[in-house]
Amino acid sequence: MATPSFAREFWSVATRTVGWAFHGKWRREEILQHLVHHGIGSIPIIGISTAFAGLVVTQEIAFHMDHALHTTTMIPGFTGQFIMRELGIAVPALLIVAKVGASMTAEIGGMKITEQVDALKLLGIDPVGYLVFPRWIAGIIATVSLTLIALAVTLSCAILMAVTKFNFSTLEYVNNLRHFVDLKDLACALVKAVAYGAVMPLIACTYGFRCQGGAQGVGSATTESVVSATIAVIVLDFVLTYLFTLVG
Amino acid sequence: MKELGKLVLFYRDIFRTAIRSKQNHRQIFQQMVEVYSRSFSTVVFAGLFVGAILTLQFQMVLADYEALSMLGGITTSACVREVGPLIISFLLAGKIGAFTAAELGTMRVTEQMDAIECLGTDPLEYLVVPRFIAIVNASILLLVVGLLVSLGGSVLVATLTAGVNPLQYITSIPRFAGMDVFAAGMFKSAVYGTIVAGVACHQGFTASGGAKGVGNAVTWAAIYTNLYIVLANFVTSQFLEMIGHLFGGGH
Amino acid sequence: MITLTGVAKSFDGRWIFRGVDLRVPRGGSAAIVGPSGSGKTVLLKTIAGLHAADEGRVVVESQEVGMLFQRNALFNSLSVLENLLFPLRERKGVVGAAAMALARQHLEWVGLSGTEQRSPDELSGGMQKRLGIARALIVEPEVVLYDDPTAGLDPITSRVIAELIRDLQARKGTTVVAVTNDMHRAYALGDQIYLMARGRLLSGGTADQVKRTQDPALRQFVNGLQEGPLA
Repeated sequence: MATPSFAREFWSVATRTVGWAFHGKWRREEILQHLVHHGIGSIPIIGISTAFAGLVVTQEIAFHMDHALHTTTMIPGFTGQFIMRELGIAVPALLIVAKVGASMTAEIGGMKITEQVDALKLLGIDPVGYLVFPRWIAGIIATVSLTLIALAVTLSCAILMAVTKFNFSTLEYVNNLRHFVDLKDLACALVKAVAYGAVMPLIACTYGFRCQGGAQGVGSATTESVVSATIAVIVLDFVLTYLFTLVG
Repeated sequence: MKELGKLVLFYRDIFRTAIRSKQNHRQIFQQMVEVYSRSFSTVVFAGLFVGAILTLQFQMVLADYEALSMLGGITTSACVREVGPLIISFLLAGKIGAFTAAELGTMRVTEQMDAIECLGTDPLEYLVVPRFIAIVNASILLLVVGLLVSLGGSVLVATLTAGVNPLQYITSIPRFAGMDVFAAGMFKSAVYGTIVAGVACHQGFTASGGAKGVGNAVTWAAIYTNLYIVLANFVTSQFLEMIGHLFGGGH
Repeated sequence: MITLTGVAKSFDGRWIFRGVDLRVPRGGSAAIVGPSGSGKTVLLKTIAGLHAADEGRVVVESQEVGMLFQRNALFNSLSVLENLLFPLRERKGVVGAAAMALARQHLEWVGLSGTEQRSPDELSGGMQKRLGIARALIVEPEVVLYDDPTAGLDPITSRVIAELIRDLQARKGTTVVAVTNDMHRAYALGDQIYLMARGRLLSGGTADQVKRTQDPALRQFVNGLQEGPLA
């Protein structure tokens, strides 16, 4: 999986992509195209999934509160914190990795094995600048926007569950929530989203460029891309959460 | 929605074929070992981190209430009942689901399936059913391993960053996470394992259109598996709560 | 126009070919034949500058190099017309009406008028080859490289494509290197014919010379014999 040759190629793709932001041409049209395809195309699936996550988390936390503290009055605070700090960010990130990451690897892998990448090079076009950079920028913007959408949806559904099942009033819930959740939590969520959004396209594109052979090559590269990016998200989540505990 | 309908029909076909045909236990066992050994290290790695992340999160919350003595119990309960199965099966969606979709999809687009059919063998019976059974079993096993490892990860972090005594941590576990919690975790694992297996086999089996088609099959296998797991999470939670009420009105 | 002296290329420590010498004069053409996996494509990509040679010198006296790839390498996210407009814009900075006129002219030359808005994936194998050729030629290259231009085509289409390549070469005075498995196409495409085998490039001379060759390896390949040095 994460072999030394992968690490070397990943590093090369990553540094050239970041370098391109300063020295290269920003292809607005391409960025916009990827933003529409990967970003807007992911809204339904992120919306549905995080809605259910919001419903479940309220129920689960209520179960634990009842069990531990014999009260459910703290539901808004606990749920809100858990959503803003962890669940509302991790669930969409893992879905984005599966959907966007996999399709980026499949796209670039397909171009690699049909020699389209060579054709670009022959025209003097840097594949990193043309293929990776627009996906990278679109990936960051899409992940941040989708995370914000996911947070809003998860919280709304959590409120819905609390109101219908645990007899909170919406106002009471929101007031309670504001006690526990502040702008710092939102900032942390955004930092995490930017990190995931930046790493995922780089992993996906590196695996795409490594594709060899025919259908089998694309299939296995896509698989490895999803797994590696999922692990990267989990590890980044841990590292960033740990850093935030030091800061906060 | 249409996809979901097709998937349900596919499950029906698999079960029918599985009941009708005699299973080659050796082949299934081999498949299981393969799936298991391929995913073991990844699951252990992810399990450690999931436990660690949850501990960090709960530690922040509980520290405000000076209730760190409950850290072990609450983390374990949340991890086993909810977050552990969810995150680890997301990983399995990639590791096993996408892999299987790629494997079956490649066989489909390179006409290997047609070749098998020509020999008078049903590819569903020969290729899909053994994989399906093997993946369901291996996924459940892997989820259990992942959950156990995540406990290790959370003990580690609790000791290192929260200064909770490991012994105190472990003794607080049974206060919150009894057999019912582990049963709930197991039940969810079984459901998620079935989803991973079914979606992957379905996407791979119905792939078409060359290398691009295989890429699409893999992508959709990962997406649909994750989506269905989130939905199943909700349904099983509701179901388990109902069961909980039946047996003694809660806890 | 194209001069290779002592060129060698390896991947992961394994030599694909060594000591390759090749000279193609301006307006001339070379056809390289050889068994599958003998490194013909790698050699072509080394001439194109897509691979760097490990040893020796590659000199191509041309600003623009056009290449038809084995798998056509058509950009499948773009339409047929856009596949031609894209290199014009990126490579030559030609846009607008001028680019449109050039693109339509090239489509006409390769017999693809009327397919402008279709996706390359919807075209037949022969039509994809034609589009690949048009795309290679649209940047006005002085050197054009063809990687197995008739692979997977029926004999009639294959012949038509070979004639198209010859016709366009005569019309534009380009220098051509073509790689193929098929001796008939090699005779049609190359003034000079070369055999790539066992990591070496062997000069076979003109089509007539090749037909009367005494070289055992070349004879074996030309006649499709099982016995011989290429075994």
